[in-house]
Amino acid sequence: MAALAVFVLIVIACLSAPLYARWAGVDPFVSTLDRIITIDGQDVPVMEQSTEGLGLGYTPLGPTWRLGNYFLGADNQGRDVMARLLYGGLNSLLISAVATVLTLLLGTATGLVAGYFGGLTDTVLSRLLDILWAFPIYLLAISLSIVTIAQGISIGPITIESGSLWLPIIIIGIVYVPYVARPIRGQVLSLRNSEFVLAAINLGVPGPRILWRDILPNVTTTLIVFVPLMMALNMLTESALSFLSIGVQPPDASWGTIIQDGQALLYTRPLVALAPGIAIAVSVMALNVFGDGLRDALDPRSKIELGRD
Amino acid sequence: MSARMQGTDQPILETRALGKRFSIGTRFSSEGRRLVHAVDNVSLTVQRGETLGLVGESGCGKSTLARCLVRLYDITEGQLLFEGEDITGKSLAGLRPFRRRLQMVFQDPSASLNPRRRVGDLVAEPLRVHGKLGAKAIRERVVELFDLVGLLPDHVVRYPHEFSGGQRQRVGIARAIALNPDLVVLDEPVSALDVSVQAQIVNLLADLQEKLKLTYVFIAHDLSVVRQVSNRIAVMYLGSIVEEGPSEAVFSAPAHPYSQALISAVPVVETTPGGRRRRIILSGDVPSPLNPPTGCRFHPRCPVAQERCARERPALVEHKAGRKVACHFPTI
Repeated sequence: MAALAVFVLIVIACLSAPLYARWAGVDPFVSTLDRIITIDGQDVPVMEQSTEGLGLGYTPLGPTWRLGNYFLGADNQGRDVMARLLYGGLNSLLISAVATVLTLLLGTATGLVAGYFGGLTDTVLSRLLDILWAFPIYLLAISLSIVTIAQGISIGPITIESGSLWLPIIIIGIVYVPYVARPIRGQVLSLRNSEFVLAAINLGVPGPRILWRDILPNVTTTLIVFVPLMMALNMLTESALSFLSIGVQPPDASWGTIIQDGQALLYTRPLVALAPGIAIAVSVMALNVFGDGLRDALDPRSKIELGRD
Repeated sequence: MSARMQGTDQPILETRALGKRFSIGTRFSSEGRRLVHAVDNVSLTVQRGETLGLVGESGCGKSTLARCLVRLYDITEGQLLFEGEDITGKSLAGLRPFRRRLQMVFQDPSASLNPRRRVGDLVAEPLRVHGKLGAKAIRERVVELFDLVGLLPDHVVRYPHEFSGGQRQRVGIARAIALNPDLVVLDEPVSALDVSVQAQIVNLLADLQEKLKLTYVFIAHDLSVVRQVSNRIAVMYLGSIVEEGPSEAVFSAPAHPYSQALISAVPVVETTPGGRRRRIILSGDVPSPLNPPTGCRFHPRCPVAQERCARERPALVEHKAGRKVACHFPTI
């Protein structure tokens, strides 16, 4: 429960990103290289001239530890890292949450149909899942992202522009489908032969109705347990894609892109990369701990593992 | 139980050389794909209004046969006829009109009731799927059914786990009779219950049979229960029927050596001195249906087996009026 509280705090903080930006009077998406701010009555430039070596180049402002005034310092565009961190968190959370919904929908549908109808349907669907499963997740996600990042997707009437958040959402949502579909299919397979399903068949209940009324309610615990665990996985994948600049596109932020921004400043201003890194680690850990707790509470006997067996 | 009503000669349910094979393993497993004859060459008739008892030890194929009778399993050999109509190869959709007349009560009520649905909802399910009743009429019918099986109207909103085993089985029975079926296959309906509750459920089934003019196929391994409820019984061994006949006749003078052993195992109260029966104890275990013995399937354990039994498989033949035995040397 503590884990859930930590995660909820992070969500609330990220949701308040626009409020923070307005209160601090900064625009986290516009570079402000020549901005000068006031700290304790002193005027300080956001980008300081380097004093070392030849005196060339600029170093962004370090953390001021004053909320609303470059709390975590500035990045190489002179933008408030704190504000970007909150905005980036909003995107990271949004992408992982929507991708989770997508994965669960697709995975549950595939698992239910494959497990219940069996035979050829099961073979075709399971082999499709196997194909997806055969690729290393990150490799697949990266390849899909690279292919779609420049042009976006345009299938019939559906057009997703490049740079849209929907691109990482769909890609992450699809690559994890086998992770959900497999265990669901397994459960449905055993439920399919349970006496209460046989009883329903014997009563002449049509197949789709059995799936919906008898089988789905018996896999919901599994699905609930999947939510936090999938969110944690999705958040990691999203950060990786964004770090490689094939996820969230600038000037939009996500924790992954901020780490990338901070990469060049690692020696002088390590906090730019460290802060989003810590945010990811804490969120993912909170989600995983919460997910494990949820699993133990709901279904101590089940063995839902996110990973390959 | 109830008087045998012989309206027409047409049996309500008939099997002709019915068989069910399961394949085990795949062609990649070490012993390759093998076939298990769970039910083999079963020919039975069930007359309208009667109760046919089906007995045999665990694993002899009783439940498989039961599931074949209601077409929950696909039948691999022979034929299944319901009121003279062949329903062996009917599709799921083609079976739907028969489902409402051919129902089943399962052995374990805690497994056959979906734990996530209210019992009223479960009993209403067949009415919703088959009938053209409105929501209000369905609710009234569910209450009526609950009353019929001895449950209270306010039980409808409960979940299965809130009931005792006996009450749960009452729910299972209410669901099976919801559509006014003609035939109910009872697959060990009381063997998962406490002995004291068993009697209540058996009495309930008897009452319902009388009220609703039901025909039962009653499957059990508890012989005393079967004897109490059945007009006729059939004894199964390793997937086949070895003896069939009127209940009392078979119980008082079993003709097949296996039936004799089975019936001698029923515990009796010794009321008369010296009235102790001879207990026949069979040696060995039931052979695996994967690799059944040659000839008569019972011969390796049979106390009266002779050389012929290992060679030749006896057919189920009528030896006396209404009494069929599959044995070369029946005591009849």
